[in-house]
Amino acid sequence: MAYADACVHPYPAGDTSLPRMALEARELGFATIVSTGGAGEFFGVRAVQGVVIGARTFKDVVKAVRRAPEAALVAVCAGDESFTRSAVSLGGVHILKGVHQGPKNAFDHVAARTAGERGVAVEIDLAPIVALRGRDRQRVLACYADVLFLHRRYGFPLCIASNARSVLDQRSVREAIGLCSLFGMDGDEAGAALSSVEGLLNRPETVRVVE
Amino acid sequence: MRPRPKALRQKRRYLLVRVLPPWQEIEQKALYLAVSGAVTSLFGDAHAAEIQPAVVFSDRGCAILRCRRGCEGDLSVACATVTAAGDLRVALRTVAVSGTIAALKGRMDGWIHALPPEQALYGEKEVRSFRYGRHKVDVLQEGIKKQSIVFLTDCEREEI
Repeated sequence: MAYADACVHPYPAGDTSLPRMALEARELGFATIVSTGGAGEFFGVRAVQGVVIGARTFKDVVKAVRRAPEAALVAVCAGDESFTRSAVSLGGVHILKGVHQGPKNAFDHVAARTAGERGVAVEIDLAPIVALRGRDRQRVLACYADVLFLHRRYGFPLCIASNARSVLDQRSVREAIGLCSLFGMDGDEAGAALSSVEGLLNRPETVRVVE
Repeated sequence: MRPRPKALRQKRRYLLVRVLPPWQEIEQKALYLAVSGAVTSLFGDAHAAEIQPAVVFSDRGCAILRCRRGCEGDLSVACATVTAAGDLRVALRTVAVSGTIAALKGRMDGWIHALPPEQALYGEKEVRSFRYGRHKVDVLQEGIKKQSIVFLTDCEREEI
């Protein structure tokens, strides 16, 4: 199974170059990384271009999705309830990001059902589990447990991202599975989530009406 | 105090962890406090008391941690949440688990530790860099207020 880290931020967003992140990812057991700072193949690891859209209004999201490169993996940051529902139903969006940062119930059962129908993945971000402490981390774990519950009910894909800005933030496949076990995800689910990026890249296009 | 007979002793497990960046000198006590803090923060005092984490050996780039048998998975997860030891940014990567320290020390023999720093040109400035592994180069940048590290590979080092 080819595992993928669904989002890393190499230089200039972070302090590590893309080839170094790819080299580290190879040592950590990943075959693919999704990078917000370029694409290519380094040390046998494929770096896929990723685009993160953090727009405030849905209109801006539509514009940004249209502007995204053809082969890029498009991730949209979650917002309030209506924004998240709209973002998930928009064609060209692959990943819903930052579910833990949105307001409570930003990702509800309606958005979950839409995500399941359209094959939009929800990102499990490991960075807050690693970096936060106390109540903030408890809130993130509770949010991910809720996402996992909806995933088991509606079957939308999950993907796991380290959101690393440095080699020191990258985590191995085994560590990622261990961290996901903190909110109740079992090994098989974590393995499927780590290998879901390939499926998102080869997702069948939605039917378009051509006049 | 006389040691307990073998049958009455608690069974232990030992974890071999890689400390990144390997050229940074970290005191064993700072590492223990970081690991212990991570375990307590993640699992609470009650489970931390069950795990009984300890650092039994620490050298440049590697450390051996101890825990109770059956808790090695939890300690490994807690190690993944360590981001700093003292004032230094570090990452701990669990490499192996064993029932004896000798077995882990045997695994450490082939490890390549950091070479002494070398000078490199970064733009127009001369900076210190550390080269280790086959392709890894860490460059130290002196800022106005603090020092920062840039992680590169040797193919980019040509551009430095």
